[in-house]
Amino acid sequence: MLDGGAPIAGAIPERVQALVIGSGPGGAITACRLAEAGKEVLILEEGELFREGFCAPFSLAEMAAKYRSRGLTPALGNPPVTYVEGKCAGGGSEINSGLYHRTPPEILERWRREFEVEGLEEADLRPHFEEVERDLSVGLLPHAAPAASLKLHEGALALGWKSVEVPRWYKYADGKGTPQTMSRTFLPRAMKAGAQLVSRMGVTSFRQEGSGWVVHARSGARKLEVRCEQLFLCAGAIQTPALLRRSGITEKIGNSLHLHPTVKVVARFPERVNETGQGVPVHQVKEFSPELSFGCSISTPEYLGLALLDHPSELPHLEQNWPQMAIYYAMAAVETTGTVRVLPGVRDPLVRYQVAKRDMRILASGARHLSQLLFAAGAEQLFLSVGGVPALRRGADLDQIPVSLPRGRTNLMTIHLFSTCPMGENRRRCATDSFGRVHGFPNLFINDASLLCTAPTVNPQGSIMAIASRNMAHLLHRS
Amino acid sequence: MSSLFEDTVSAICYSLVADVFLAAPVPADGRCNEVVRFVLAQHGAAPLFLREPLRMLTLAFSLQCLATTGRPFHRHEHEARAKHLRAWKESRLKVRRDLVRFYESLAVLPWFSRTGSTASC
Repeated sequence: MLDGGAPIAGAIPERVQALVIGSGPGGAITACRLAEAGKEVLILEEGELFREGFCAPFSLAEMAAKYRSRGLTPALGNPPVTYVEGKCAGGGSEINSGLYHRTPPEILERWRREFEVEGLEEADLRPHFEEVERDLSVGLLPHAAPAASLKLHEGALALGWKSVEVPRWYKYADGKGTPQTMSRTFLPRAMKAGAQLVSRMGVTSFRQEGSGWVVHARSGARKLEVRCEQLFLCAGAIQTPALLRRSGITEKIGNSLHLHPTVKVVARFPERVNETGQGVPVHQVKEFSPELSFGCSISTPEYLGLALLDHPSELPHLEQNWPQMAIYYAMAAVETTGTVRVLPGVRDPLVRYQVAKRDMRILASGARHLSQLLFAAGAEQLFLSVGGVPALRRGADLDQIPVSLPRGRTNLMTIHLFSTCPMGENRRRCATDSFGRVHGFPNLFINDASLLCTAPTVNPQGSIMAIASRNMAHLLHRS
Repeated sequence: MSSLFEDTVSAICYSLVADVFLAAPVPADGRCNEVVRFVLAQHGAAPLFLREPLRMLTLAFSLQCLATTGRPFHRHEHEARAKHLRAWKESRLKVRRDLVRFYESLAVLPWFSRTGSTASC
């Protein structure tokens, strides 16, 4: 684990071989591979490097410290979709639930076919998945899953639907699990191999100079200019396209944001299903995959309160009822795309995402199937995060869920964003080549969630890391 | 010295806690002050394109009260505040409903974060 809390104060080089912007799953693995190959590597991270145990996972303090804009980041549209991004050393890996999937084969096939991505057969990615799984200790829980997670599983079994326990990148000792975040795995490895990490240093823009790049960054009043031979953009699906556009590179950049919009349902059971410090739910129902996946969210009282805002009569009783309640979600893999743009003089990118009519129907179908499952699991009352839909008490009430979710009264969120700079040889659609090199620019690479051509339909960190690892193997082998 | 904006946010938070989250008078244990601090910090961290419109709308919320009653929102008694807040929450104008929803969704988090002794830093 890296120790931190303050920016590294040492001298920052004026010139390096490789500069990596961002230290999340894409950036950490990029820096690690480069450093271990003997390259001189500098990582610039806009967020802070936090010491071990700085704050409790999924707490408000974590939200304030590690989320961009303290979690207040909406994709504008009707309805808006609230999203979150990690802004700290380790990026999204520091704040997510650690659920791991390989990219489904049919998704890889689609990317090869529509985006003409080369070298993306299952066999090409398999060694990278295996390596990531080994390095992050990906595995199943060594003990029983939380009660709320088991409820989802039980409901699926009762209906004969497919339900799986999703593996996570956790190490377990003495009954306690530790997430194998980037600050515990690839970042220390990168630094052991000689990489330098500078936190609290936000890159504002970059420009080409010969075959290399000049990067401009700042930390408060302190300004920085670093020259590099190779530049790797790994700032995530929103910040990477914003940085490119701010630097004047706009071709196929930020035009095709995909995400997994998610609608929530709070279930109240007759028995206790929730407790303080309950672990992360691990089950997902894949009966309607790839279009829809169902899961269970972190269900602390504050998040239950947030999910119950459309049912205000429940809030005064939450202090008593929360141990019987949990939050479930229906996550959709849809075709709607959004955009990422920058406004002159404004630091924060403008993200727009207008969920298509068809996709509002898919989400409504998800809410209905999920509700059916929760009744089958024994729920006695359900509360949708959709205004105007009353609390549901029995199966017959499912008819009260509209066929299409109403735009003005639906609350959607997501933690999965990607595809803003898709990879591939199809120049009409892709920002980079099949391995992340930006079309038309020498020594400029993208290696993060932006590259995924469409929604992967599963939690994306496994895909991001395996593809980043594959891209680095390709680059280092070529050079 | 607090500004009209901060006074308004504070009064909105107290009203939401009393009317929506608690359905009872706000206890004098400082918990609601934590809610106000959290909401102001969240607003301050919001992207500029969100922060400034929200600030203007919040001021409009209070000034509408001033125009119709002669006193800004935070200078009213509890009942009058609740009525004004409810009017915006049930307004036909989406932008008004969205403002109330914005404050509800922020204030609810710190208010319930102590329930069940949820761990914090």
